[in-house]
Amino acid sequence: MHLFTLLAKTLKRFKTTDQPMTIIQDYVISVALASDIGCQRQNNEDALQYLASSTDPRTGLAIVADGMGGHKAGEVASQEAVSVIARHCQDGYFLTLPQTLVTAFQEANQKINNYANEHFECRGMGTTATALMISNGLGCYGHVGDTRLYRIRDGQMEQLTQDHTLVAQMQEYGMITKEQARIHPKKNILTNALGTNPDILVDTSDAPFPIRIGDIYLLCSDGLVDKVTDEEMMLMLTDNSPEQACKLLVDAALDNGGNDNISVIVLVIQNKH
Amino acid sequence: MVIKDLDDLCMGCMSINKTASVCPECGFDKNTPPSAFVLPYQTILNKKFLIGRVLGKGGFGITYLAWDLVLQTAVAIKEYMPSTLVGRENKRLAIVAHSPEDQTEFEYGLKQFLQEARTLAQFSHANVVRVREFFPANNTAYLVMDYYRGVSLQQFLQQKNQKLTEEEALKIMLPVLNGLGQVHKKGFLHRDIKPDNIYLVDKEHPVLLDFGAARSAFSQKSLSLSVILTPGFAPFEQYLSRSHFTPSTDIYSVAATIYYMVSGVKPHEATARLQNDPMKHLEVLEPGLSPQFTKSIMLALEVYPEKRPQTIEEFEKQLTEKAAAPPPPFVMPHAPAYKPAHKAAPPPPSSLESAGLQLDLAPLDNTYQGAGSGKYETYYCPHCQTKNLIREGKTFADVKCIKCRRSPNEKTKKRLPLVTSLKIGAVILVLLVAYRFITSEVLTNPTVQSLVGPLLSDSGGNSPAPYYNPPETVRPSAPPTRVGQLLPPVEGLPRVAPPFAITACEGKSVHDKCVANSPRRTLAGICEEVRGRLACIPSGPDH
Repeated sequence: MHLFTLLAKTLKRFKTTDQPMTIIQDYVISVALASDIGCQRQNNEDALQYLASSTDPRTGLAIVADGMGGHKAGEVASQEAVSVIARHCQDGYFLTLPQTLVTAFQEANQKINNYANEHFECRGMGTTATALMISNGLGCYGHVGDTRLYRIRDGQMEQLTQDHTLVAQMQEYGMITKEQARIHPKKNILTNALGTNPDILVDTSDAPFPIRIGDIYLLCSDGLVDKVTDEEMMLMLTDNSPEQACKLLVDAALDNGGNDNISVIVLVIQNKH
Repeated sequence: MVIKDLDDLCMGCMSINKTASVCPECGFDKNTPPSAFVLPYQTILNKKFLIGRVLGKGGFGITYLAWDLVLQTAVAIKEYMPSTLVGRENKRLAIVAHSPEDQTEFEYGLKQFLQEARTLAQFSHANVVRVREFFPANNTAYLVMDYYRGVSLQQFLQQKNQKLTEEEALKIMLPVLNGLGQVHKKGFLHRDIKPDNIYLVDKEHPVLLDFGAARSAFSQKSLSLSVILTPGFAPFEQYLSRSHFTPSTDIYSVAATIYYMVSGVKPHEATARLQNDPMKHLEVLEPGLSPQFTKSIMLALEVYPEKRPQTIEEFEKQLTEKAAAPPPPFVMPHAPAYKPAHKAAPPPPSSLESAGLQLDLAPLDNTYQGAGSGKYETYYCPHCQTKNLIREGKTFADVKCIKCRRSPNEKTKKRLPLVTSLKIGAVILVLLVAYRFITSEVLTNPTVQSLVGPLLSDSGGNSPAPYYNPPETVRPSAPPTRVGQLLPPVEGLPRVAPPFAITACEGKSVHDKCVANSPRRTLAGICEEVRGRLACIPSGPDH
């Protein structure tokens, strides 16, 4: 037994050190935003914002939030989330740190929760939120809910965030497939949202990831995802300017039904020249 | 000793042996082909260096083992080849840039590479790698260094697989610090210190390698190139392009290396440490170490540069000082547990502030508003009858149904899935063939007639089933009276089901699994074979 524990202890040590990480400095971020009320809703409960630095084109913060709740509570919630997160990161000194985003999200959660408690008719109000911060060649994201962050790199599209929905959990346990999840009647049920609970768990990238020239980042609310498939999204994003891509995405979502609010932010990392 | 035949030289260790394939000294197999992009074995550079195997690959280039043909000794040659910018064509030696922009960046890097060589050439220290020569070739440049036979610190630690004691760690690192001190005195910083870059010659004598990231401490960064750093060993200021580097940057990396050597745990990535530092104090991980030692290591690992020792001498002194007075009561300098902070973090010391970390973000105001807030109409999809919405100005040709994803203009034809239609086609084909077979001239064949005839006339006497014992009650020619509705109707017989008829095996062939009796066998009074098929005969009063 003694030998075994000794063996177990020694096995954990001195694994190979990580490969060196290349952080590029020579890039610019070009961005476009688009939001649409959709064909059926009375108001737009999505909120989105992009903050750019006037001195440094390599820094940016993109936030998308999808609110829910009756009596315009959804609008209030999402706007509040976006402004709190933006303000928290603006005041901060440290960029591209997952912790900054975590504290920002928690602050937003507190504020919305307090508001809901004070205003009885807004009980149950909440919002999803996904934020992407890019600075100094590093990026990191914070995420709660079912808004999504995708990245296209080297012709591959990858969903960086994991949905906090019931169907996503079912998929993880292998109960249903991805196609079944798309058309599942309960796909709108969230397991995590800002404002509904005093405590939340915020998803972040484990560590800031280095960005590359040619990366395309897409933040979108579920209004887009429900209506447009991944392949169609990739086609519209590659080789298009962010503005064109945004227009194409929103129009495609509206053409395919568009019953929910649709919001997208497209960021493209380009060479400085 | 002069080498007569270059083929006798082993490409793995540059020792002379006349063996066929595997070298007895180092185990290198002559027949293993080198990987792509590297120079082939026995390439001659600068008319005096014979290239051997690859010693290592870094971010910026490849290091080869080589043989100095003039001085008859082994050397290490580093080739500048940043793989993201350039590549090498197959079977050619010259390197080619991927694009014109890459070419510009490559040329700039080449100048830096030359600068690295010039930097190193200034040092003559036992613990700093020695430069012998530098020459251009193949559109790039080569740096010739002394070859040290030994292992890197990382390999040493992995092979030993045991944490080092304080004495062992200091024995290795104090000479390195000495060499590093010389480098700093000349105004240079290494900026990439980690176990992979410390080489142990003969397991005792350490040498500091790979000055690829080294820069003059006073140079301005006019062109912002990519930064290459190793997470865990690089302090936070290395992640930023505009911060000022001081000797404390290297001191952090050395302290991180020592931390790793004595605890086996890699330090946390610097970006994770800025708020609510998760890194465990060395006193907690290794209580056996002397308090002065651990204190000085953790001080050198401070997140903010100004809190660390500012010179190598200071750091060395702290490490080796034996505390005269009794040590102060043990106080944990770091927060023991993570508490979610609801207040904004306090502003940091001026070092990072001057690095221009403070953002001045302002929101962008050009959101594209889609035309969805306009009018819309409903229509019902002709294929699946789902209610859909169509925007003003759009025609049916532009839209697709949300459920079945088909355009309304598409002709409504029932789309059969491929598999089902194939199955149906196969069944039809089989039936057709069977029909033709039965009604073709095969039937008129006398032998076939003799075989098939009895079957068709309910005899059952020629059944191939080996276990079959025809019950005596069944007369070959007469139609069975007890079957009734269990089988397809016999002509002339009324379709009457006996009261206790079991229909479990109705229509099944003799060879099917019997529901009532398993394994299948015909039981007298229960199973009866009629027309080549089995029927379950009830055992009620009918009998």
